[in-house]
Amino acid sequence: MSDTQTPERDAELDQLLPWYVNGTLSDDERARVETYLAASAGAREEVELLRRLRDHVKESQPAQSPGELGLKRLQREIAAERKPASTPAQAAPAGGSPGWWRPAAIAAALVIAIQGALLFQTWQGGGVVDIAGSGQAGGGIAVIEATFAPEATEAQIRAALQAIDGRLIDGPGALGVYRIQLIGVDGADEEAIRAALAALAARPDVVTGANAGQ
Amino acid sequence: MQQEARQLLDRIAQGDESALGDFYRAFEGPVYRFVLSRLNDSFEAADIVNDVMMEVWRNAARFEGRSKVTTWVFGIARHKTIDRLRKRRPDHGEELDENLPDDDSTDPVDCLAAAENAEFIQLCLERLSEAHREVVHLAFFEDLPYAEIAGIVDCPEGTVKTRMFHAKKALQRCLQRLMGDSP
Repeated sequence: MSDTQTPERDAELDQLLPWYVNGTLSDDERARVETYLAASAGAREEVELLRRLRDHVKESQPAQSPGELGLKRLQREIAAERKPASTPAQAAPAGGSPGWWRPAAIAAALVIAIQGALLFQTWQGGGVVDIAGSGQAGGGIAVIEATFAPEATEAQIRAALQAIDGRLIDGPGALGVYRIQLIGVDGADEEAIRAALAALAARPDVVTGANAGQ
Repeated sequence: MQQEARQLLDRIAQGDESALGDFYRAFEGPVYRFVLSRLNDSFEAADIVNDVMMEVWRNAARFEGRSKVTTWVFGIARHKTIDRLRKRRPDHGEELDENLPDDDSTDPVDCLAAAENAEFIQLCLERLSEAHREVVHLAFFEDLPYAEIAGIVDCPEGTVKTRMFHAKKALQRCLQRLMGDSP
């Protein structure tokens, strides 16, 4: 042990080792740590362990953040904030039930979805997502049809839906197919639908097949 | 990066939505991973990313430049994450006693051997407290200096170092236990 090293000083330098490993120490701190490492085999072993931990943390982080779909969600909320408050005539009558329009709106949306359906090549688990350009009418809601792995848990399916900002609107059909609406995505938005299909394709343990809804 | 981010914030403060898009693309990934490191729920993490970006949109003009933009944004994310954790568990607190003594009886050779096993490391990381995982994430994924981490988690630099030290010791103990249990 050199004359500048004491247990207290070792402890102080031990606490700097993680930041030596991530390369953010000042020049002075780094020099002191390197002197410490030259004298302490234990400290060198700690640094090796910390490097392995750091490598693992960097390699194991989930890659799928909300991405462009999250940006679209953000833009929708900002647009909604900018809209003027509804007029009294548009607002629901106090104490009344304006529910008559809901089934009509849903039916209308489904009609639009069917009319505006995009035709894509079907993706089957692990395959390449490809969009055929024909048949895109534009407008309407964007719908994806998907099947889930029998062993997929509710949490996994929820995470898969969340990743594409989607919600189940129908299913399962006779073949176990569910219909997923991409919230706020226009049926003609190829890029968003392609991204959603790619996101689902990246979860073959949960989603066994997906294609654009008919 | 910081300078560009600052310029984006200035434009966002003027209501420039395209600047918000650029800001989002620069920060949503790091913010998402940071939140996920504490919440371990991708649905809630995505929600919080959205909330953080809405707050950036509404409050960009309030950023005074006394900290790095990264520190400011991660700080917002951290507060929202803690709020979410409190809703999940009303008694949620940082639950850390920074003065807890560490059992220093770990064998570095055993720990290093165990650290060859990615599953062991992952298991031990998941067993860390939320606050410890948070510091490990900021130091080892984002590669932030301890001073900036202190700004994000709103505590003294010494506390960040101590927290990381305890996290490391907990990981070592965990790895050694797993090594001892393995055939």
